[in-house]
Amino acid sequence: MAPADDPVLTMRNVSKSFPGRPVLKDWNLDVGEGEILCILGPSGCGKTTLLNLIAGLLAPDAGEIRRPARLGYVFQEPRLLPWRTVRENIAFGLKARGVREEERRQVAGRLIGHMGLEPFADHYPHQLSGGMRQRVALARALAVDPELLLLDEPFKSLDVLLRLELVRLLVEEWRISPRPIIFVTHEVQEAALVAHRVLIMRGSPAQVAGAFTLGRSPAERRPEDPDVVHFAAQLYQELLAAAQTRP
Amino acid sequence: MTSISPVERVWRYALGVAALLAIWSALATYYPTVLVPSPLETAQALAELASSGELFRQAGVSLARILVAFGISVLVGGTAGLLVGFRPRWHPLIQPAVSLAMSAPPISWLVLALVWFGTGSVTPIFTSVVVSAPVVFANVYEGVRALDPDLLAMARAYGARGRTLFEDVYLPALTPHLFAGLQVAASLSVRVGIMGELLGSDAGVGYALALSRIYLETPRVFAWVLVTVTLLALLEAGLVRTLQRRAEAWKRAR
Repeated sequence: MAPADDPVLTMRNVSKSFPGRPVLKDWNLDVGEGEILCILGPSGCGKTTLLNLIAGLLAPDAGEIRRPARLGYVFQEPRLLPWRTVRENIAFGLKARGVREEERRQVAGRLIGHMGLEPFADHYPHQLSGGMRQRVALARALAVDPELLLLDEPFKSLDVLLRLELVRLLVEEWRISPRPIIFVTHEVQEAALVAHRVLIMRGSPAQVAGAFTLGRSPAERRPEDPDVVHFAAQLYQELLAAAQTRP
Repeated sequence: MTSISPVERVWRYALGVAALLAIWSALATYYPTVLVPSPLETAQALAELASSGELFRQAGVSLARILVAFGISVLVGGTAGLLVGFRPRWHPLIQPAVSLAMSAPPISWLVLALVWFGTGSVTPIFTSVVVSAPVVFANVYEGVRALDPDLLAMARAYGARGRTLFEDVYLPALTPHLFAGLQVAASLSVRVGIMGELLGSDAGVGYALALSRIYLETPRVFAWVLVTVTLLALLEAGLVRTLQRRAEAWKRAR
């Protein structure tokens, strides 16, 4: 799925630098309806900054960002409220938007079901494993019915099986309601499994070292499919090249 | 470090209290009543004060003043701590006043209050507030500075504002700091408040304490001291700890 005529997100000539370090310069990006965009790149190349700009947590020094009103954001760490239950944490984004309690409970209840969190609905984050916490964070992002979902290496600290399980859950959710997703990751396998389009970033200020696509729908891909394996290998080569040739 | 069971803890507390009573009794047998009354004489004085209604009258006056002083301290100190916490540029402007209030001996504030307000309720309340409010301020300020920026960014990303932001993020995150401040402020409110009454009031436990001393009714002096300790326990264990246990109930979920 290529960027549509009417993109959900547009960034035009966006620049951002931190004292002594340019991160983005004249950056352009379109994300279309229902598109899963993966961003790969070496550590410290500005991927998180890019997401924070998109989420409005950072203001650009120059340029223009057009974003939808409802965003879901899953961070590297779960960032749950330690003093709220799983149910309340999932409903947090809704509460922030002024949704009534009854509806909040309904939405949270549905996501608790989807995510397999039933036994933990009234638990507090400190009672959960790392994987469960990140599941709650994903449910919290989905609860606001986001027009754009931002994922910042959300499964980074989890083991391979748990990661694949959560990726499967994510794709399943996407199949039911195909909203655009920007997925920042380190893992070429993850990217090959879920992305319509993969951008490889490198350098400072960051540039797009390459854009790669796989036509088949993410909902039909399996980790062992030849085209997925091949795509992952290609991404791995490109990532390696990007990491070695610093402009 | 080995921990002890709750039951053993209670036993050991009882033992500690018994040891205190034993030492007190021993001293009372060596010294005349006017210097060290025995526990029994103190209990008799306490019973007299209770049956005449004097105890509850004076304790009521003191408790009301202490609660007012504690309330004002929490309100003023807490609000200032929040405001300055979110505007660190204000901190150097307000810190000299806070340092002055905290480092000057409470008795000097009492002397000033006597000059300004004379004897009455205002003097002990004013002195308590000047000493306790900065403690609440300092703790809340520290709490705001220690807020987790990652959690705040999350709240911002989901558009939390106003009441949701305060109730679900700020207030629970500030709870440990807030209660650390409330503990100290509660004990200061009682101790400084009673001291204020002792020198600068015409009613209350502190005033009754001073009067008993003048008439050399030492058993009553001891009785009023016990009343003061009880007031402190009411405020600290009865109010502050109970609120804290409720606010931090989530931590005990297993």
